[in-house]
Amino acid sequence: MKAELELKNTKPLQFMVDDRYRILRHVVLLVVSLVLIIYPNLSSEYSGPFNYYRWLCIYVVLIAMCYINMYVLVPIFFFTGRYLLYLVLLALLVFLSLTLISSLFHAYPDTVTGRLEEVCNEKGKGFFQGFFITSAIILITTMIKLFQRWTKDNERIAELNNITLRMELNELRSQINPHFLFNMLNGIKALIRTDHEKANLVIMKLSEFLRYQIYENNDEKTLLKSEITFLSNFLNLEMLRRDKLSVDINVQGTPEIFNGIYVPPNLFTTFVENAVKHSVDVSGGEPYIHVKFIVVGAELHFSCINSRDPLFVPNDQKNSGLGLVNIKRRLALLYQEGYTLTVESTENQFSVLLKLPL
Amino acid sequence: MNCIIVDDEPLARAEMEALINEVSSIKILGSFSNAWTALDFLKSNQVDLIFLDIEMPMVTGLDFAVELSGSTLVIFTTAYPQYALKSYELDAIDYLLKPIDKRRLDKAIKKAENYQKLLSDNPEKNTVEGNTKDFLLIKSDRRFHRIKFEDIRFVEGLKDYVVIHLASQKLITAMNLKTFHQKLPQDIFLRVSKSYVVNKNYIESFDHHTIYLGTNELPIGEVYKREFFSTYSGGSILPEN
Repeated sequence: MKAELELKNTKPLQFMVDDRYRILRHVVLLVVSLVLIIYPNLSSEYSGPFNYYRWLCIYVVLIAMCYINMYVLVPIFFFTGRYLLYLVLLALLVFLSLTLISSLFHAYPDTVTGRLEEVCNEKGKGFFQGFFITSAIILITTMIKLFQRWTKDNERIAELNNITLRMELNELRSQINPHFLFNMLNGIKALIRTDHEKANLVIMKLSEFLRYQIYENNDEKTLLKSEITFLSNFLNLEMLRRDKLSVDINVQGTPEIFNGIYVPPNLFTTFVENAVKHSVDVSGGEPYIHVKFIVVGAELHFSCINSRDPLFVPNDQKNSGLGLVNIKRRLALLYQEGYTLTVESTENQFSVLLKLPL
Repeated sequence: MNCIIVDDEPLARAEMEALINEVSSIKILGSFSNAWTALDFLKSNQVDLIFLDIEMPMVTGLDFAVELSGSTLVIFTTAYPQYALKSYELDAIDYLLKPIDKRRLDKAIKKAENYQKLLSDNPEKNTVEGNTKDFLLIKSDRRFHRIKFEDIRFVEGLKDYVVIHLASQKLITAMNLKTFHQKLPQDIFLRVSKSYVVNKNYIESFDHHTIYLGTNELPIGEVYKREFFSTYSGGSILPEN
């Protein structure tokens, strides 16, 4: 796909295909065919007005053939797949054209004055030769049309692929969960009664969280720093919704390193959401979620570890694992083979390690 | 009247407690973070009303409501609007969306109190004693009440009883809604959902999900939609999907 686009940027190809050069292309065709007709015939035994008449006849008929071929025969018969009919019609066109040329020669008044003989003698050989030369020229115009069509199709296919990929990527991005939002609002309503300061803080965190989801989520890339802030906001808000949950986000490395790193937005959200969902403890343990970011060489390592209660079974078994399938698809679209994802699950702990190229 | 709250979110429980205390004087016996601890509590305590969250880990509010005995009323509290119809099939008193509106809660609690009063009148002793072309006889407190069909606005199935809504009063009797419906003239009374049979002549307006009779709003059940629309509109209105 990329190679195709690069190819398209070379000058000769642009000249052949681009709509901007349309008029120029026609001019070149007209001039080149004129030169081709006149140049080999300069040393012709004919001279004077008959010669000009001859060139004119050949030129006009040849150009007419080219255009009939390019704008009638090729689009109507060739592009619709009726190749045999096309070839028959093309041969017929060439045959008729040559017959027309020769009868135009005969119609020249001067031929009566002694030259008719020579023309007639030449006729058999010339006609045969002319048929092949003309056919070759016409087929070149067919090839031009074919080439144009081929490049346009390629472009269209590439664009379609691009759009499909982009749409798929958009779909794989996590969306705001309205249920989360309404529960958050309900929680804030409770905090307003009891703890104004905390309510304030939660509204700020929720605003940041929403701003990120609504605006930055649509960008192709976002600063790793804002992604980390987003995850931290998300986890802090989730902590409010739970009786017991301890959370820590560990970022190893200097701020300078992290300030320069861009990642696709919401790439880690699915893992953290999963950690929240599966860290529910039903037997009185201490649930935890540990998130860690670290730069190792030219790689970014993300890890997310959460506690598990073996007795806990999430409600929606049907949708379970769908998030992980989606994120794998998204990673494959974004990084092809360039990433590694390790998922480990024990009785009491679930851990994810994701290594991304920088 | 007393109640308990079941919700997995601590702040949601706090909010519910505060709201209940604000709008009513019903006694809150306890708050529970999951269905199984609440169920344990119910084994040894008589609870009249449960404020029940739907989306909870392991056992959802809907699963929990199925387990409840007939004497306990349920008001669902949830952030998900899509469970509303399902909740009515479980004979819930009401369905409140979070964040919860105080007036809406007040209305729901009043409704629950009304039903509790009806249920406390020993509805087992109220029995349908017969029916004629125009009326129904219901025995209550050793007296026979004559109820004209044309006075019945709608009939509501609630647990093991039916509540007959008349213009001026409500009567409760022990019978399931299906059997009761068969005693009514079929051309006037239409079953519109698992919990409601409505008198066609009292319907003021309706849309694709709800029938409006004065201040009452009755949901139209999925299963009954087609029949309702074809009977009521003579086939000119088709249910939306």
